[in-house]
Amino acid sequence: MVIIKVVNIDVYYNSYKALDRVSITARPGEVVGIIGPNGSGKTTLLRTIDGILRPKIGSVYIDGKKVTSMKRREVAKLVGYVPQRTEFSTYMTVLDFVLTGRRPYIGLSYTNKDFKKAVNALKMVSAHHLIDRRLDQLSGGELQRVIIARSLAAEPSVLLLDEPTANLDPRYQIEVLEHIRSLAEEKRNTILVTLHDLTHAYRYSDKVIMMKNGRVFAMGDPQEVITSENIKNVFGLEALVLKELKAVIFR
Amino acid sequence: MSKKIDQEYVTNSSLRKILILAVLLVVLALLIPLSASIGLYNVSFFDAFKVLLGYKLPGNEAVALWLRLRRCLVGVITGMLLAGGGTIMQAVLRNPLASPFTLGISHAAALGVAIALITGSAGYTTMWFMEITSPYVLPIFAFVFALSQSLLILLLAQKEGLEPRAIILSAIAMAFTYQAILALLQYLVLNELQIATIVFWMFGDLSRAGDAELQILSLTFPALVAMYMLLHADLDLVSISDDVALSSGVIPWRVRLVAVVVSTLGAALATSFVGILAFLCLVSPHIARLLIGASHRYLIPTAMIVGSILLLIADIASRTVLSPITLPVGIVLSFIGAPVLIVLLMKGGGHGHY
Repeated sequence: MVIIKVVNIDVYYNSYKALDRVSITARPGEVVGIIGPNGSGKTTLLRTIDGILRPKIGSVYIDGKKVTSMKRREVAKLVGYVPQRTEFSTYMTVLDFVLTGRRPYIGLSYTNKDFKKAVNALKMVSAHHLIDRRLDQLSGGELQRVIIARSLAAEPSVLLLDEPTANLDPRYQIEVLEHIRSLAEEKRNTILVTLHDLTHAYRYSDKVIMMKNGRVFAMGDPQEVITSENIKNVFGLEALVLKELKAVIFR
Repeated sequence: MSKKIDQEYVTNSSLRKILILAVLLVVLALLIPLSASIGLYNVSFFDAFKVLLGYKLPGNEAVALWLRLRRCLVGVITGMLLAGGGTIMQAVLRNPLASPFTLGISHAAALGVAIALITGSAGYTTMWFMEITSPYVLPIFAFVFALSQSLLILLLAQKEGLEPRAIILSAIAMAFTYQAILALLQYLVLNELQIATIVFWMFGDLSRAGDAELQILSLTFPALVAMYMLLHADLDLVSISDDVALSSGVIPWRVRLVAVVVSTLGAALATSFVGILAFLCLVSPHIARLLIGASHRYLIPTAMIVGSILLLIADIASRTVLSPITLPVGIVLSFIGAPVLIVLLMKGGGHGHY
């Protein structure tokens, strides 16, 4: 049961301020959807929570401990991070790739237990049949699920997913989101996920954070945050929010 | 699917890989006596095999055989060191064109050795300087020069964020600089005999390593291989992406630094005793990847064995193609390796597999 607390952080890339006084909280079993235009600081927020970036002001607390003063290995056991899909041009097989997620637990090499956990992680996202395929032979949806499985192999309590539905066809988008929901509900994981599709954010999040220019513009229940007014303010678009269908339509 | 099938799959897949490794080892084990039995002085394959197993042969045969066996063993070890080093560099730089040779590290090591020879730090009086040099000085000079080149490359990759092809091109430019420095030294400082020595030295050749060199190699080799292997899981992560490595608890620049120092040590050691062996360290990891996949716990040993096998084959070719003339094996490797590099470049260069 791990609580994430982000307290008043400023994050810089050189002199560019990417996050400005951001504070959020995420609880076990909760799916927190992060929405906002490109460059609004969504990815930066996830990377800072995982301790990859260091805030200049403020702190991130995982389970009451400051992430920047924890050992990388300890953070890796608690937090799984799925970066935006990059090119994985390698001859690695799916099993070998997922095994690398066991790194925080291994000594000299992988043991039988690591193999079992890797296979389990693949089962969790129904990608078990892909086990001996090579990464470059997977479809977009398959690759995305395998990448998520990699982050699950270390059995983290917190999952940070950066646009897990990007480049997927609608069927795979729904499939990946369903998996994310069930991880929160069954494993009581704390999940933060950045999304571009506002309807998805509406339907699959317990809490939505809307970001604009490195600041939290609005935060709370989906129906409070995803409103026509907020969408106009943040995205500059006229949108119709259908509450009973939990859907957003752009005019 | 049931648990049983998982278990079976995992065992089958590792069994297949271990089988491939075993086959390669057998090939290597057969190549050593085969290579030792080929040459002007006729020794049979089985005699060579017998000697390997500890039997004693009479006088002349034993001497001829030992010279050839020594050459083979030096080839096996240097082949492994170079191929392992290439594998590691390709992983940490995420660059399929990286290797001690293409990154100019071998050239820097060679310059270091040449300077050691020229300044007399390693001591020489005749053309056959290897008989009287202190063999320990050469690898130290080679390592110092090679390491500065490696760190320069790391700096270029990390700070400037050069893309793979740009790194290789800058490294080739640096290799030219080292060759120019060497040429300058030859032109200004050396007499004809010394120039001949250095030029001959620049061709990679297995026969110049003597008993002392073989001893140094066989003492340091196990430690280096152990260090290569210890890095396997970190190399897997770093070869995927820096963020992925960090999120799995591995600090990429630390892995890069350790990996580059270790693989440079191996490459410098090999280069200081046998000269520049072109392309071997670049090509072996690619062949190994085709055979066994990209997971480094299998890839590193496979690449090392492939490196030894290739070097022994090239060595046999260098002794038989223009028989009775024995060519330096470096020349043969360049003829084989250059076209392979061109093919790799055509197949996408910087964006290929690593």
